[in-house]
Amino acid sequence: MRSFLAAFFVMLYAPIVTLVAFSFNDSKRNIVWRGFTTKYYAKAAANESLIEAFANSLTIAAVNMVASVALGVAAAVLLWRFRFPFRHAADGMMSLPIVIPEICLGVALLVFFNQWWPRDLAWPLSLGNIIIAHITFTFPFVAVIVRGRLASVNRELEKAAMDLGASEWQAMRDVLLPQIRPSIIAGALIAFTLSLDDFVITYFTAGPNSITLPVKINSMVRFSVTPEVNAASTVLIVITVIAAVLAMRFQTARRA
Amino acid sequence: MTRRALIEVRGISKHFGREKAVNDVSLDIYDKEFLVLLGPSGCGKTTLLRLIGGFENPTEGVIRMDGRDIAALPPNKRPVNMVFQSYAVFPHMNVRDNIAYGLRIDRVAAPELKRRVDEAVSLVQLDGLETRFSHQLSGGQRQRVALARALVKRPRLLLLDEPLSALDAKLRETMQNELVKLHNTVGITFVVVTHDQDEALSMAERVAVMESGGIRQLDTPRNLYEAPSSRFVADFVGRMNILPARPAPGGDGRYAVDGLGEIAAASGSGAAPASFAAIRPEKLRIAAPGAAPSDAGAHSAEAAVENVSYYGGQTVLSVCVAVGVNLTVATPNSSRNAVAPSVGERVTVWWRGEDVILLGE
Repeated sequence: MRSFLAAFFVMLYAPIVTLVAFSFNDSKRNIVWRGFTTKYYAKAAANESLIEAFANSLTIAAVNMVASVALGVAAAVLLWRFRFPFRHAADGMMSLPIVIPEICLGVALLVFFNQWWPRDLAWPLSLGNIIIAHITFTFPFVAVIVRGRLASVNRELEKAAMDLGASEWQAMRDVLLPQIRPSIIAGALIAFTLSLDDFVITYFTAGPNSITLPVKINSMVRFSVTPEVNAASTVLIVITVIAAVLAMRFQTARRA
Repeated sequence: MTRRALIEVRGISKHFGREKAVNDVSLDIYDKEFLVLLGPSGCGKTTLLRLIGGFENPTEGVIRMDGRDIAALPPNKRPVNMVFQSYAVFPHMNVRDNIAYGLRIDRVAAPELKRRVDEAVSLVQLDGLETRFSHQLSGGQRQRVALARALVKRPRLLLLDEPLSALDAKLRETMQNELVKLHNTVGITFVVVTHDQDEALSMAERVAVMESGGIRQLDTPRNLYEAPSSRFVADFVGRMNILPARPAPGGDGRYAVDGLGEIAAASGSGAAPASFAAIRPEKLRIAAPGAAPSDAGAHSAEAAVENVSYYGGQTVLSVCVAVGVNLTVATPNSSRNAVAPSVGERVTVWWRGEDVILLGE
């Protein structure tokens, strides 16, 4: 049993550990260990197009996070609060982007934006279509997470607040929001992570002037997997892992 | 005694689709009274409460408070507060902040807020628990928070939706007494919804018995129990022997009842023409055949004991007085040595003529 578990973790993490380890390897090739160095991080940091891609990625992820949270929380609260015709259908439709194969969504978005999205926009507007694409597949995650939390919220709480004199907005702010805040933060971090490391959908929607970090890494790998790629990948891993751990913490946070 | 009506409900209806949850109800709620809405689940009592509280808009009808129409006012604009069935204590606020919430919304100045919250805390005896959170409180304490939170707003009318249903039996009895005491202390009109008739009878000044969206009888607990106006009320409130009654051949307001023989319509004993005769189990007396107990009435019937259930304080018998006619008899165990008849024994059942109630359909 123990050895099985050990094998399981080796399978899971050996590639990642290797990738991170070789980002510190003092060699041009990822084959033999030649000693510890951080020079490839410096090299990556000096690579202007890599840094530009990284800045693009962070910008997209940040804007996407804000928009996804706004949309996702609104959708979750509306679906929880109101009964209306086709509510269950709307509920299902909303989570469709989660299960649709990414490649299909990527092609669909490519065709969609090709019709009317203007080229040669100034930064950061040039990232607009990628941001919109990311919102379509990340906001359902926010909605699903927030709805999970809402399911355990007592509907009488808001009514009690209104009974005590609060307006609908005050009741939402003072009573509902504190109840679902951990799930909102968790959803935001997940939206950020998903956007930051998305490749497939971004690959289809990115133009030549709007490259993101995963797309850039992909194009670098085409020539050769240098430790510089490892270094860039490691940075990406660290950011996403931190965000994911935080997200999980907020999601399982106990109610005060 | 005529009392001033605080709330006048006139012809109010609430339909959910085709279902008529509340159907053409008119009702006066007096100032400072303790009114209970009693009924089986689905009778519309909670909907009526929510209509008064402003959480539902009536399909038809008017609700006036002090003569002013309030049907269009949202809950946060009514001088009415509610204690919810789940108590709805805000889980992210401590007891003190829960109680202060309504006053903060009203922007009550800090010194007055503090004074009123302190007052409310000691009114419901939550002293020392002010910094606790909902999950650190017992069910009874949560209810006190909900009460204090509503009362601190000094409403004209306090609505309580099944306030005791979440508590265990012992605590429920204590809280019944406390609610009545609280009502006497604060001098606010209480309207309580419950499906528990013991609760209704013990707390209320008046009880409205509801069934399928309408009020069947609105009366004092005593009248409700001793002079129910319909078969439904007689059956729903307390235990009741209900037997079909036919006009006796001789006429003159007498009725023939299987098992009880011929009975006269006593004055004030309900509807004419009657279809049913009813008598409470504790108003029947059991004695050995031929012997009359000291407090027996003028009427008797021979019977065979079919079932005996011992409840501690009383023993409940099911006796057969005629083929297919069974009466439930409750005898108090007023002595430790009281001996109940055993199953199969023949007994005589005695009752007073005035204890028989005649009921319409």
